[in-house]
Amino acid sequence: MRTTVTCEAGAEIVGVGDDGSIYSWTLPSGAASKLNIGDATVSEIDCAGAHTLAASARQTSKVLILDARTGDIRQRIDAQAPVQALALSPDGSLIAIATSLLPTQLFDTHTGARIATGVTNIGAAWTVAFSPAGDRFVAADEDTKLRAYNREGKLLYAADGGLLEPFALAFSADGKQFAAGGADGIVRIFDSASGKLLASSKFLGDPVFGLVMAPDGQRVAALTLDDFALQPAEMGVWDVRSGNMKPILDDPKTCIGGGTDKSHILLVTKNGDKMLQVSSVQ
Amino acid sequence: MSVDGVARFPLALDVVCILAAIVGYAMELNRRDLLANCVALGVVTLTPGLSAAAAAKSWLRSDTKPRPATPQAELGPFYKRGAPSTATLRAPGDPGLPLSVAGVIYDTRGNILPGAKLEIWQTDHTGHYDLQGYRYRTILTADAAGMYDFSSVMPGHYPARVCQHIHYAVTAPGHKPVVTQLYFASDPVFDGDPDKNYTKDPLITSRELVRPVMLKGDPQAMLASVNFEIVMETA
Repeated sequence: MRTTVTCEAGAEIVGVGDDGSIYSWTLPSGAASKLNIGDATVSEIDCAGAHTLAASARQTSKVLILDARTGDIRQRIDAQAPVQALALSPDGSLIAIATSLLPTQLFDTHTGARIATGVTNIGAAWTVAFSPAGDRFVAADEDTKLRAYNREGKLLYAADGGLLEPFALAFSADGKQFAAGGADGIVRIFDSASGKLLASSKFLGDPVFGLVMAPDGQRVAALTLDDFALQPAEMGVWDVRSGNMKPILDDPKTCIGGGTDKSHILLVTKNGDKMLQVSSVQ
Repeated sequence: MSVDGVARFPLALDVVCILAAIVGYAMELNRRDLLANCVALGVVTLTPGLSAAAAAKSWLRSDTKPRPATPQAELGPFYKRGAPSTATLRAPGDPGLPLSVAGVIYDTRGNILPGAKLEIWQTDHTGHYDLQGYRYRTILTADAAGMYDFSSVMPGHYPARVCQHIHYAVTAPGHKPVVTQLYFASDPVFDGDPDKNYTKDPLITSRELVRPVMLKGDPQAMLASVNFEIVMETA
């Protein structure tokens, strides 16, 4: 397994296997199933509830909108540049796509039509995230800005993500805040309505490439990668109130994804070659 | 024949125009004035109906040649905003092969673009980006002739990327930004054959971005030199 996302408030884990196929597990039983989507070799995925999946292959511009139960392809979208990350709106009707060459694009998943293309001063976007209410999405742009757009793709604001590029985004469950982290090794929390900076962590020692925000917004799990080999360096949880950062995994290389249930941060780790482990962070 | 270091030629008028043309090319003098001088001196004859101004315009047009836009490439993960402006990225004593990079910024019609802003960043010779400071990062401005240059070291390899490279983000008013990367034909990854092997790095979007490397100097003080022109599309 390479990457996972949690769906349905942690009731389901969806991931990409080493073979490029999509697998899902229902929790807590752990019942597994493989989604049959033909010959497509998947890299990036996201889910909207239990009904819609989006998938793309690394270094291609093609995105598939899938029925999460059957694997039937509902729509094919061409993002015109290699896809880096994608985010479905919670109702599955919209998808924001970050590519390596173009600013973030917003598409209608039913028609496949491009609704809007975002802006950057230079470069594209590393990642993108939809708010839990689906009223806005945020792009972590390579020009170091964090830009929020509404459902029509209209720019709401551009927040300062620091001097270096942001790589990771995560919303709180109520959508009032989002966290961003990146090459400067700092996690920042912003008010998602205004883009105002609310809090910053201390320097975590390495660039931040993955974030999960606890549903209450008071803790943030951060995965850092060393800046040379881009291998996992540390997995820790930042307590926003106290400012403390606590390591939570002995071997961060085992972490392949994360998410939340209704009240906790969930971590998905590899346990041997063929086992996954889902843990809640207390 | 040379007397006291001054060259003397029998065809003085022709030489004046030839020299003026050379100087004009280098300094971007007004071609209309130059042509007018040549007409006045009788070394250029215009047919009836062709004015010196129209001839100068046509001459300028024929001197420029359309150029394909520089291929875009990924910005990469370690861009840093706010770099200082310096043409000397290599500090005295820095290890690594000294490298000199120069080029001209054009538009796709072949006109030079003075004042274009170039943000340039690379690793040191061991493949490490400076994330805390601004080593091997700069912001340059193309001069009146559209030229830029800087001294650095040959960037190193690092595990997440196949090839040595230098990042460019170039902006100019009225033109689409160019985000691209410069690669080196001397990179061992290419096994001496970049035509065949440039695709070993999946992020190299075009063979055009792999530039020839000229090695100068003696073995104890060798310098690598690369020319990398940038061509920008109108916005």
